[in-house]
This record gives sequence, structure tokens and C-alpha cells, in this order.
Amino acid sequence: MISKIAWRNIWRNPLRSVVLVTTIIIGIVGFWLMMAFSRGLVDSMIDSIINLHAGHVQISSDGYYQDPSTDRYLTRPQQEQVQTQLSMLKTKKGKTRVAHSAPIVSVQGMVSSSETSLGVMIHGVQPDQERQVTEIADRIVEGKYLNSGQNVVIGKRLADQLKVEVSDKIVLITNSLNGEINSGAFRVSGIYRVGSSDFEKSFVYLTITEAQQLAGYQDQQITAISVQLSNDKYLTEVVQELRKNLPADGGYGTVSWKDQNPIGKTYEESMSMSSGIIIGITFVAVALGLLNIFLMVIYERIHEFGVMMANGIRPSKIRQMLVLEGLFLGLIGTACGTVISVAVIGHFAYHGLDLSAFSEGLSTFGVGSVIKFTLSITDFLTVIICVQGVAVLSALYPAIKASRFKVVDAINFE
Amino acid sequence: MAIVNVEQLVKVYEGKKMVSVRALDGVDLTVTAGEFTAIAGPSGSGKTTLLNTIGGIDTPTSGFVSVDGQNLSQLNGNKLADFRLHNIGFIFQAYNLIPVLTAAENVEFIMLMQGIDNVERQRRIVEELSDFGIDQEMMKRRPAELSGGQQQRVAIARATVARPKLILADEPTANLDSQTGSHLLDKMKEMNQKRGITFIFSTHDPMVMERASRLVRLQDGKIISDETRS
Repeated sequence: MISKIAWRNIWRNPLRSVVLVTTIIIGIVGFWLMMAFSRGLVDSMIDSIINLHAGHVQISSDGYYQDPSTDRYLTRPQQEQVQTQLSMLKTKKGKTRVAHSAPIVSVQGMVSSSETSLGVMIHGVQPDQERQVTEIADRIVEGKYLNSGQNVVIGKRLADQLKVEVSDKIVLITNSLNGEINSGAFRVSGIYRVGSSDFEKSFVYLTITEAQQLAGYQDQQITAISVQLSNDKYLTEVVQELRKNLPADGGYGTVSWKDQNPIGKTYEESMSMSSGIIIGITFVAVALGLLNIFLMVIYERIHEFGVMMANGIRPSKIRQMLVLEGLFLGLIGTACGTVISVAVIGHFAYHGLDLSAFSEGLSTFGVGSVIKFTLSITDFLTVIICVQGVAVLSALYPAIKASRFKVVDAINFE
Repeated sequence: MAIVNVEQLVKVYEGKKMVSVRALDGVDLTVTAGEFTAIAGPSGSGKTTLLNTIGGIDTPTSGFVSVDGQNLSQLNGNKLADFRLHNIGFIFQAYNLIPVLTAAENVEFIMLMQGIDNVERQRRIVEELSDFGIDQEMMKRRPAELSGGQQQRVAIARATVARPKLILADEPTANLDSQTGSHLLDKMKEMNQKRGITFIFSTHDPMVMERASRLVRLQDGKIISDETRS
């Protein structure tokens, strides 16, 4: 009966309840949209880091990432040891935690065309294996991906700067292992686009055999093995295990994408902090709105509470009734807010939000011009729990106040 | 057997600017179970204060109040609420029904709080409201859809359905036309005689005084006359 009274009470003044529910809906939808957009933005950036270039983990020679010179390489026995360790990375249920791995030879160098010369990272890959670790092969917009021979794939921005097209020739120059300057002429087989102008200007892809020749590696040396995990959540434990089993004093260096891209890591970590701040601000505003309205409700119904208490209704029942009113309003607001949010976020999660107008700025951060909204189950549940908590807490103070009225004063209140 | 015992009851209201009002000034009153008592007096004589104090919804400044042998000053908030729930019914001048509940639900609410089972509740709702002339269709209406007389019938049924030993009625006929007021007083007298419920009225209404088995007159917070009728 108390819940029946509480439910009906919220419809005594429909306009006020609609305003209150609308406040909750705006809070919920606003928070979720902001979170989904922010997460989409960061996810896009992290995806581009992991899927375009680094993979989740890279295992190289110790010190390579501090000083990426050609004399820091993995020997053949070291590569075999790495593969052995990777094959042992299993979950408790025996499933592999490594989805794919691929060797790379990555050296600093220069690229020259008839127009100009620019500094680049020369990235030698095994085309078949690399397809499973990074997405460059899927991002080819002109020409085709690497097969064999003296071909390269370059970014659209680099092609524009070099003023070259597919089938044109370019020259790659680098310092070789023996300290000599090595160079080679290559034909552009494909041009890729990834959205990040910095990335497109920096990375030139060629087959690993050609890269080894340029670097002066004569015994199948490589600079790193790039690893794609079967799930992001394995990252920390895999890195820890690899560092333990492939120690630095054994000549190995294991780095995660976070180590290689501290900005991406900072963005990811700041997400949880910023979501906490946003949720705090949003729900303080919602709570103040609810509190204000509940205090008005109490003021209008003091006489009624007095009559109920005179008839033997315990003060705790009055509190229960008002808290239930808060809870019901919270549930209605959450239900409506969820429906609206699911529709809007669902649309942008599927189609993405086109921010072409800001693509130049976004590409600086490695983010594409279309942001696909993402919302984690934690964001979703946090908001639902917080809204109910805020609604109940906002009703609690007025409820306690109402239950403490002296019965006779409440009855005589006009 | 005394159902209400009031001894040397004093109630002083501290007003603003240190002005105090002595609403009750040493009242002694004993009401025997089954009485139909009217407390009369001019406005401000302390009638409602006396009723509120007997009902445990106001606390005396000094003195002693017991209902059915229970010293009310010994009960705290929840125990006092429970005591009222099971022993005392209130009827107000302004009906004071819960606006969001139907007539039937208003009557049921108190029984539900008393822990009476559903079958018994439904039986009593129909019995009590029908007895006061509220038909099945009216039982489904909310207070705003009922006339003043109908609302007061429901309010009286709400008080009697809980089977209290004592009903305190504060000017119950003041907002009713004389015909409705007379009819409801007859029904309350019937409840008094059939069920032995003790009624104490505060009133200006001659119709109430005529039907009362005892008429207590208050003036300036003191009993100035106490007349028992046959």
C-alpha cells in the first residue's frame, strides 16, 4: 500500500514529475553521450596504435626502443626462444592468449623522389603474417599491398609530399649494420590511408627480405616481433610474463603499445578520471534539482503526513513512502533515458559521427574523421546505479525531515 | 472502567515574543468505556488541545494522560504510533482522507497497517462503507470525486473499521449540512451502542450536544461543567 501511495503521489502533479524526470533523462543521456563519444575517440586512437602499427606487444633486442639503431636486433636463436615463449602464453583454460605474431625489421632512414627527400621509418614486414597483426593491407586506397620484390607501400600524405603515384620509383636510404650507407630503388605498389597524417608521413612498408638487405642483416636478423593478443585484457599479464621469461639481461626487451605510445596510455587512463568528474558534476546537478523538488513536495504535504501519523502510521513508513517516490522517479527517468540513449548511441555506434570538418586536427592524434560511439557496460551500470542512488538520497533528507514533524504541528500546518 | 484518565493536565504554548498561552489549565477528566462524550466550549477554550493530548498527538506541559490504562508519556514515537493505530481513531473536521487513494483504499490502509489479512480487510471495507451509505461505485472514487458528506462518511468508516476502543472526533459536523451531520451522528451513536466504542467529540454543534451521554464544558482551559445525561 505504501508503494501504491508513493506511485500515485508522483502523478499528483504530473507537470512537476515530468520536469523532474526530464532532468534525470537529460543527465543520463548527456552523460552517456559524452562518455560514448569520448570512449569512441580514445578507442579509435588506441585501435589505430594497436592495429595499424605496433600490435599489443613488441619484443625486440634490449634497449631498441630507447635507441632504435640497426645494431640492436634479435638473432635467429633469440627469435626461436621468443616464439617458444609466445606459444606458452595460455589462459587457465588452455586457450592461447596470442592471436598472431609477425617479425619486423624497422630502421630509420630517408626516402627520396625526384622532388624531395624526407626522413621516414622503414618497416620491413612479412606480408602474409603482417596482414594478421596490422590493418595496413586493408587501408590500401590506391594500387595493391606488398607481395614480393622491390615494392613499397607508402602513406597518402607521404606520396603527396614526394609527389609520387602508384608505379613510380622512390629510393630508400639507411645506415646499415656495418656502418655503411645502403640504398635501394623501389616501386610504389600501393598507397594507404589511415586518417593520421603523422602516421601516413612516417611509415614506409616493404618486404622483410628487402629491409634486411637495406639494414645489412645477413643472417635473418630482425628488430622485433610484433604480437597481437586475442584479448586486450591479457596485455598486462602477458607483458609481465614475457619480461620474466625473456629478461633484459638475456638481451630481450618487451614493450606494450602503452610503453611505445605514452600519449595513448595517458588518454586511456584519463578516461576513467574524466568520467568520474563528469558523472560527479552531472549527478550533483541532478541531485540538487531533485532535492529542491522534494522539499517542495514535503512542504505541500506536511498536513497530510500529520494526518497519516495521527492515524497510527509510523514515521518510518512516511520516510519509506518518500524514498519510494524518489526511487520511482529515478526508475522512470532511467528507463526513458536508457531508451533514448540506446537509440542515439546505437545509431552513432553503427554509423559513426562524421567529423570530417575537424579531420585535420583529429588526424594529429591518430583518430579518423568518423567516430564510432562506444559505451562500456561499466559506464552503463554506473549511471543506472548512480541515478537510483541520487534519486533515493535526494528524497532521503526531505523524508527524514517529514518524519520528524510533531504530529500536531503537521496537522495544523496550512 | 475508565478508558481515559486525565489528571492535572496543563498545556502551555510558547508563542512569539515570549507570550505564552495556557490552553489547558489543570484539567481532570475521567471517561468511562462506552461513553458518548461531547466537550463543548467557545473557540480557544482548549477543546482541540484536550482531544489532541488524549490522542497522543500533542504532549502536555505537565499532568498525566492514560488511555486504556496506558500512560501515554511512557511511549516513544513508534510505540505511540502503534498504540494509536490499534486503540484510537481520529475524525477531523476537514475529513483528511489520503487524496491518492480511493474511498475503499483509504479505509483499507489502516487495516493493512494493523496487519489484518486481505479477506478480512475486504469483508470489513464493504461492510463498513455500505453501513455508512457508500455504494460499490463510490468506493472506487478518490476523495476529490466525493461530496463533503461522502468524504466524512468514509473518514468515519476509516476510524471505525480499525475497531478502536476510543474515537476522538474534532468538530466532525462543522463542514456538513444539518441533515448529513444528523445522519452521521446517528450512525456514530449506533456504533457506540452496538460496538461499545467510546466517542469523545469537541464541538460547538447543538446536535452533537443533544446526543451526547455526557457534556463537558471548557472555558479558558478549565472544565466549568460536567453533566451526565440519561
